[in-house]
Amino acid sequence: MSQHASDLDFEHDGHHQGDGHPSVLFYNIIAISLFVVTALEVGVLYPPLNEFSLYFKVLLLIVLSVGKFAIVVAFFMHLFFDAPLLTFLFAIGMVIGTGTVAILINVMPAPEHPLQPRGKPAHVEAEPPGAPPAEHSLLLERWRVS
Amino acid sequence: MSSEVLLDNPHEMGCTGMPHRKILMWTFLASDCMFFGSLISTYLVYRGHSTDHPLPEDIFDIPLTSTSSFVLLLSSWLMVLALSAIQKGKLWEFRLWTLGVAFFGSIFLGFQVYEFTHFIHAGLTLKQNLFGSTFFVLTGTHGCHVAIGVLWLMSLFFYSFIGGVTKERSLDVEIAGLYWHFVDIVWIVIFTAVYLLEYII
Amino acid sequence: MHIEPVKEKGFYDFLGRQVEPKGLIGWLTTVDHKRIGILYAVTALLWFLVGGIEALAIRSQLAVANQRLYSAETYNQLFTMHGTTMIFLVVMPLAAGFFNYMVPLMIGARDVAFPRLNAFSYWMFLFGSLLINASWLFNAAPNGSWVGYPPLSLFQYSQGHNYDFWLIGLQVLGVASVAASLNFITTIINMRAPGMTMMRLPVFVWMTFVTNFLVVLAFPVVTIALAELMFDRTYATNFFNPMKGGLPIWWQHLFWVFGHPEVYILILPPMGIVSEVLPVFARRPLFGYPLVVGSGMAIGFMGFTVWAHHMFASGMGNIANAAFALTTMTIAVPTGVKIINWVGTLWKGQIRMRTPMLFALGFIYQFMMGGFSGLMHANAAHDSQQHDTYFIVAHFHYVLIGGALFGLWAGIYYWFPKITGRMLNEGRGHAAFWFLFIGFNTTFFPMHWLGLNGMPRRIYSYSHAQGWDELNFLCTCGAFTMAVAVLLLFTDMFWFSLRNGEKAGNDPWDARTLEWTIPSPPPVYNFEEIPQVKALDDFWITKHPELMHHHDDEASHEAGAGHGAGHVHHDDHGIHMPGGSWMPMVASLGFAIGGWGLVHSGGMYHIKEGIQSALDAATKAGINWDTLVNTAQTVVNTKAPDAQNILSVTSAEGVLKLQACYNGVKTAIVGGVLGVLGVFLWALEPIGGYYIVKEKEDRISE
Ligand code: HEM
Ligand SMILES: [Cu+2]
Repeated sequence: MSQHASDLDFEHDGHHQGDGHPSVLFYNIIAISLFVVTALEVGVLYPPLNEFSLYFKVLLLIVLSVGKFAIVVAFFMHLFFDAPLLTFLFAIGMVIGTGTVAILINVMPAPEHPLQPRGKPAHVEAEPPGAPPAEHSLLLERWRVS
Repeated sequence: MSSEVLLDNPHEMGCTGMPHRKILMWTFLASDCMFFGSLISTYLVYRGHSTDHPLPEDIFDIPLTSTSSFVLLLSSWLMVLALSAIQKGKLWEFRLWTLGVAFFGSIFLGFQVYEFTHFIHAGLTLKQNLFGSTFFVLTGTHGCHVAIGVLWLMSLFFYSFIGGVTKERSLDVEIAGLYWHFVDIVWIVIFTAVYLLEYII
Repeated sequence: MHIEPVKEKGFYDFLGRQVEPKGLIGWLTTVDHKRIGILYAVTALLWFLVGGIEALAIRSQLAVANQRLYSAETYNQLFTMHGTTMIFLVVMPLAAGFFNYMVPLMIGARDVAFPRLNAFSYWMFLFGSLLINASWLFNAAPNGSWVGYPPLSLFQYSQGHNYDFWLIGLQVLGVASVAASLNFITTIINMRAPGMTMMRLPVFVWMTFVTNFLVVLAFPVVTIALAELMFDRTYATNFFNPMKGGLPIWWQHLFWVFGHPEVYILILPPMGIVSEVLPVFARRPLFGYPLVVGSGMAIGFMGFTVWAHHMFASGMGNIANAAFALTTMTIAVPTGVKIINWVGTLWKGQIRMRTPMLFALGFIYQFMMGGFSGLMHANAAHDSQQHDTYFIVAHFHYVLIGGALFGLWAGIYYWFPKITGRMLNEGRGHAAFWFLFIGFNTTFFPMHWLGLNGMPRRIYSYSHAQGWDELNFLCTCGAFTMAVAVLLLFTDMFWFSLRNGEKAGNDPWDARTLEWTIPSPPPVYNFEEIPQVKALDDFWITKHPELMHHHDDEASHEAGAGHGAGHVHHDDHGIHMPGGSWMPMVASLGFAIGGWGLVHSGGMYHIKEGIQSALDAATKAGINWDTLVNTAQTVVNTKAPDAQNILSVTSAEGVLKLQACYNGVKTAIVGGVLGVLGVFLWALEPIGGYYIVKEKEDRISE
């Protein structure tokens, strides 16, 4: 309504609804790069893991997924083209959210005696008799019942 | 502003030149960050605390989950195409893409159902161990978000046949799209934090 | 002026959607922010009576040593429901009442951004509050304190539906709060009148804004915590189950990540009210407006960084304790800034001691006391002595009653004339203030000493030997003195002044904000013309150019050209008002019924596990579920096991309980479907409503 003509605060830089939106080609390029990044992420798992590559892999995964996140938010959700106010609103949630998660993970105690994974039990696929350890299958039985 | 538009919704625009619903949606998404933040941190905090098997590495299936991640990304892509179509007034194109989004969303849900049954078969239930509790509640909540999104998009799809979705009212689609993409980025985080990192640290 | 309905007929009209809301249906379908505000406030005040009665019951039990007025179990239920009621059903919704009524008026808008969502919030709040209090009827009120710590609240230790009521009730209330807050954030950002920039917003609006961000960011966290506990209780998950490696401390973290912002959610709106009241009755502008606003934002942000000060005694380790002690002490800084600004406003002011002012002054003093005791246990070492003693009880009642409630009462006395058109009685108001002030300090000041002398929180009774007799008796006397004040306010508000109070006129206090420029009570459309704002405290400057010491914005040149002077485009249709709607109520009723079902499915998997062997035996014997339930009924009635010896009396009881859980799940599904249906119909509802059209003469004579 014209009574609410635009205000001093939160004025945005001339991008109005509808115009300023990127072309379909642009979206396609973004989508393809998202696919590529996802493929890279999965690919990161395959090279052998050693003490050095561990840090490198973690870092790479974080960078890649943050990048993906940012691309979707900025372009698919138009935050990049839209009013800064919207970025501000979302940023409040992101900043307080990530901050809280980070602190929570740090103040909570680490497990004292973590269980070791035993790898995929063969019986899930083929169920050869006697393959799973006796204790494990007992446990399974108990939980299947309930 | 013509009086027809005014009649349709005289209370839509605000003094910042943005529609109310867009502001509402982004604030809601900020709130949802805290929502999923709490769930994800529950999962991460309890990593390694399970006292019983199975553990993630016993049962996770990376190729499967990667495929479903691709499917969700694909649906996000179709979502922007649908919005772009309706903003140009191409109704049929909009319908096609929207149906595609809902379809791939459902495929994603199908993968999840498959994964859940597979895990339950392998002995992982809600109450088997902490991993089961945290994993099912986190991914299940995300799945519920996807399901709501599918319902929402299908509503828009059908609504478009009785003239409910038009170029002038593309905002309806934009808002649904924001929600859909948000569900997608939550999955981006879950995929990395829950699935991929499991194989490294 | 006459009314012209929007020419739009359809499916929805059969629901009795009124063009212009009248009578009871008018209230049930209302989307008018003023009516919703009144609904919020009146509901909150009714719960205030309930919570107050609970408080008097608690204090009566503690009045003398070795008292046995009622059972310890009842005592647990009383203090749990007292806390839950006062926080979620009184202070928050009373503040929400003011948000609803005042924010659109203060920013020069005709309504909130989403009127029907607003109605939905109210109905969700009402049904949530009824749900949580329905537990009394089942003798199953929540009984492990308002913080609901596991393992006490796990099914293993609390097998009734007590905590199911609490969990689901809070969940429903949470949805109400978040929906309302999203609405108000949008309203404040997007519906300000022309010229009402952010830095010209009244402080109350600013504090509303910050508070609503806190709600939007803090409630999701408790939603998750509640859901996890609910899963633990109903589906036997392990989130807080120590037997399976779960850590009960995780609940404490999640709860307080929400809980500390929550205490600021309770105090920021009253701070806003006080910041409105003080300048009006000191007849000076608020001292340091940008500082007051900025410190409000700082408090809001820092509120998210201090939660673990509630857990200093839980063994988090020295580093975490030190870090959280530091952040907690820092948060006292912006709080102090506000106090200094309020005092600065009073300084050299021409103070008028009207009732709202008295309450505002009481607020400053008592809130400051609470802040000081807060600072004492912000020191982790101190807190190890004070945690879970009456010292803490003293602290939070100083901030919550002395602060929040005094601020809200200031608001009631200040805005009652605007809402009803009549003044509250000054004499009775002064009396109520003194009763409340003296009663409050008598009740809660001695609790500092009691706490330091070692009296723990939440105890049912104590012996003479502990030496707490006299102070406890004093506390109880104080509590009953406060009750007198409450009676004075209520009779005055709902009886004497409402009927024959002095007529208020537009601007009885010679105030400064936009709501005082329009008639009391305001017309449905609020403003005939959307006002044009030229400065902070525009209305005040217009009236008193000579009183302005510092000249703000354009005001210095244009004093006198303030409110309403600018003419805005006037639509030919007149003012459009949205019509009433049933859908918000239908949707929230559906969700509430769903919640009711969830409550009654509480404990399902645990119960099932308990009777697993009987169920297996029944399956083996080929007995189907319905027959089993019938057999169980007979077994329970005759108190003897059945012929085939499948069900013992205990397992028969289990079967019946399980059947009740299954019925609960069914109810939940029905309710959920109804709720979703309501939302769909709501989304499809045409805008409808009516136009208020000004006659030609009106416009000329203006
Ligand atoms: C200067 C500001 C404040 C500081 C430094 C502060 C500090 C603290 C600390 C350290 C505790 C934990 C004590 C314990 O359990 O051992 C506490 C408890 C509490 N505070 Fe404050 N506080 C402040 C302001 C407020 C305000 C403004 C409110 C509410 C309006 C508030 C409400 C509460 C409540 C309700 C509790 C008790 C929670 C419970 O255990 O049931 N505080 N405060
Ligand atoms: Cu606190």
